[in-house]
Amino acid sequence: MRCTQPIDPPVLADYWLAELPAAEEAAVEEHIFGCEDCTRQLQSVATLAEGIRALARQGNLGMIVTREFLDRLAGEGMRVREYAPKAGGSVQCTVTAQDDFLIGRLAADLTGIEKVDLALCDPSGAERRRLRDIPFRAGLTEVILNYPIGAARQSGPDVMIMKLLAITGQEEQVLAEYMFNHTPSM
Amino acid sequence: MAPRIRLYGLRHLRDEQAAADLVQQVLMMTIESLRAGKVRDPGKIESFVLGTCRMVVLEIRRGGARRERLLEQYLPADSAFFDRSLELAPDLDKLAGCLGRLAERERSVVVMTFYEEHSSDTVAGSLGLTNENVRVIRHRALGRLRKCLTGGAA
Repeated sequence: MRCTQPIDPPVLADYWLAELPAAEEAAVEEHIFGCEDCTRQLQSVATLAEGIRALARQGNLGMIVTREFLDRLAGEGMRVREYAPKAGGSVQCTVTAQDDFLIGRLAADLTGIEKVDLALCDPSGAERRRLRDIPFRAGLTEVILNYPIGAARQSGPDVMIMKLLAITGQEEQVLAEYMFNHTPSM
Repeated sequence: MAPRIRLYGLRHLRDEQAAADLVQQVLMMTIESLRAGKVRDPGKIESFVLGTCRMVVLEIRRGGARRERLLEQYLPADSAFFDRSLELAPDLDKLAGCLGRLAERERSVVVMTFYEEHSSDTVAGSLGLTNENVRVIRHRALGRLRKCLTGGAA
């Protein structure tokens, strides 16, 4: 029998994340225990959460992360290879089979900046990929990129230029550039 | 009932094995109570099971001897009692593709939420957003992921 009063997906997500007030949480649980449809919906939230955790642990999510993310990896015993070139600088880098995560720490003064893109370019400056409107906290002095480790392992010798760009309307201004000289490990 | 008990266990205990143990304990306690005629209204067995879940989780949180006693009493030696088909089995390749289609902020928010298990307050502080912003971004991102995973565009 189909549920006639299905719980909204955002409420189910809030329930799973323990962000509902106690009374609402109790009401959701009472409904779930009597409803197959909503149990299935909650299962899909749980499956999604488990999948995201599994992917994050594989190190293959190319994304901006926080210092706290790195702390959590360390707490889980993950091996994290970090490179932190200065603004305008370059760094020799590689990745080994023993590494779990590959992190680029891009030093930059983001004071007063409202919107930032990160462009990943080849040595000629042509963009390979752009991370648009990356999240950052005011007063931050670095941007931390979790580079997909699987892609780095498969790469031959390569040079990548990363550019942090301040975006204002249609205008963009290079805040800093960083050169990564990648050599495959033996 | 087992999937509901397991979800309840995962939600409150955040541990796969503890949730599996909870399923076994609660089902055995329910069966015993039914046999002993202790369930006043068998037509409302869901309420009884939920109440039992709440009680057992409370005991597990308190720890101590009662939990050990419950485990000893209700955990069968044969682990096949637990239906392994209930395990979570996300399609990681597909999910990775769907996550890749999210905007940067959306991806950061869902990963911080589900991997780092941060509250929306903490995520907001880390990303320079308001709490309300985080909830909106999270709900939008989950909606897009659901749509993408079920075959629609993200």
